[in-house]
Amino acid sequence: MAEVGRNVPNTIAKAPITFAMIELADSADCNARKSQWLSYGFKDVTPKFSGRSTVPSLNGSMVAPGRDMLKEMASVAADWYMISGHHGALYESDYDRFNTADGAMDVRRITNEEEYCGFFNEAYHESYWEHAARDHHDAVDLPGTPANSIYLRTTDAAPAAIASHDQGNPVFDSTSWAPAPKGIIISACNTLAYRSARKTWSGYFPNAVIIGPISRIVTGTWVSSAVASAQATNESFWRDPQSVLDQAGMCEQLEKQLTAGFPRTGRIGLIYKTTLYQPDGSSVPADSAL
Amino acid sequence: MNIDLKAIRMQGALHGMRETRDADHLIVHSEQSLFAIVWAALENTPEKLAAPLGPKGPGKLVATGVAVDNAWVVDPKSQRVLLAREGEFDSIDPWGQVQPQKIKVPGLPVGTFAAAVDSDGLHVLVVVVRDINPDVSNYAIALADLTSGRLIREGTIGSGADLELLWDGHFGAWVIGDTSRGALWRWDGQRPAVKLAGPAGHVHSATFAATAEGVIVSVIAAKTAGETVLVIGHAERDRVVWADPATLTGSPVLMAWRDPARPLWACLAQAGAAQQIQFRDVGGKLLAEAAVRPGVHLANLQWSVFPNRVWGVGIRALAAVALSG
Repeated sequence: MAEVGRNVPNTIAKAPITFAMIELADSADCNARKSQWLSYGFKDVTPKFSGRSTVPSLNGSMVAPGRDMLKEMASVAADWYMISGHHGALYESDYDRFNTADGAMDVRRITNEEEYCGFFNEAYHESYWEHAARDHHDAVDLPGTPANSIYLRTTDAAPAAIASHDQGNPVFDSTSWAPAPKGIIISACNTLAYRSARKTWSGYFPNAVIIGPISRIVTGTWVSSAVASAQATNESFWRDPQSVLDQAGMCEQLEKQLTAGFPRTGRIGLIYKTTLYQPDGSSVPADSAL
Repeated sequence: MNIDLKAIRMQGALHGMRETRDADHLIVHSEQSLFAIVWAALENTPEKLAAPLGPKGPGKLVATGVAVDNAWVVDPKSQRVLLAREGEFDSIDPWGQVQPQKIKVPGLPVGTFAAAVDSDGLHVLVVVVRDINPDVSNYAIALADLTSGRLIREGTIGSGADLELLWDGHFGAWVIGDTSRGALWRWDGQRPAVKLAGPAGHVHSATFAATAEGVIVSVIAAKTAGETVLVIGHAERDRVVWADPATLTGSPVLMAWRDPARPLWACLAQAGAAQQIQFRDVGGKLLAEAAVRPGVHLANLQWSVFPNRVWGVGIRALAAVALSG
């Protein structure tokens, strides 16, 4: 029985929802989502940067504090994650492994067969990504500022023989102890285009909704705007997406709404319970070749 | 300074809004359509309701099948909507007095992301996509000559962030502003574009305004300790003159927009769950502030062409701010 005068917990009050963000390029997409989530009263639990009104991009002088943040992020359990930045194959030179017999680039083979992908910042893009290769990846030989590189794997880590840089992804690392998140927004080029990345995300987070592009994008605001404009993504969705998406037809409906708010020059998709939902209305196992 | 803020929730996703020259007459891009509406028909929408547009609500249908990458603009001279579609522009009188026209522009791509028109309404600058390799695309710029139907693709301007376009009558050239860095390019459509660098520091957002003194860049940046500053730049022909950063106190400011008519900044701020619209002077001093009501979330502010009015736009919200005193 409750004591007289005691503050009885309000059991019907809304549960606190938490989120964490990693931004490796232009912050506009994370800023927009952060602002919307804060307006619902959600709590930013990103280490180091949660008190800031905007999300810092981990480039230049923010690399050092950014690395500290990433280290601490592995001990964070958030309901939602948003990761944004550059995303692609391990190195640009990896494309050459999938050329056709006449030397042309085979994009379908690249996205279906490339084993190693990741998010990365501008320093990695200008050094490792543009200039390294599987047999040539020593930082001392690279232009730019390879020491400022940040690369977060979205597949298995590439072996040390072909990649000498750090590849840790704290969101994957937290899965060893943290409860499963409700969902993840992966806002960058081809985050759901690479088969190996889809397989990895859906393997680590089989019950989370994972939203991201199945194509190149120019800016992450393509993703943040599409997510915001979908009718389904109201406050209730962010609090409990599983109760929405477990209803028949709701994944297809959300996918349709995301597509309606996304440029026709690109493709956005979602993975839920190891199924990839695509803009043409079809769905396939997340680890299928496309 | 007093602020009268009226905000409504919208039923459909709002992708863009522009004014016509008649006070309170707006063109809005809602879901996949453009509508012409008069603010008076919307402003009294009860707080608990989300305003519909079209057959179920106010607003005259202007165009259908409009995706988020069909850029459009209102020609200030003719007041027609110029809507980019693949290979052509639709030229539409939003109030239906004149028949729509199609202006062929071969090569105009499927996806266009922003548009601006020059003072004669003869040239439209659009943001297009340039594919670099299978993992990288950038925004690029193309200029459509509506008289000849010729499309000129500019080859050097590129950005991975949203671009703002302006016609700078002061120098008779286009200004292409990088909203993530505060850098800008000047391009007259003929000679090579000139890039003017943004300010040093961690830029969070940048906006660009054509004023009587020329183009003014308003940058919100952070110092390493996290302190927010407003950095104002005056774009001259071949350089930007940056003022000393002004520290912003009060609720954290996300973006700032310069009034085209006077040195006054409308700012969108957010502290926790609550958003505020603030007005600040050239030194960053807070002059007035009004809270946005709960349930309404704004992403952008736009100064009206009419004095003392600012529009607020969110994905599911529209707001009008009137200044007095």
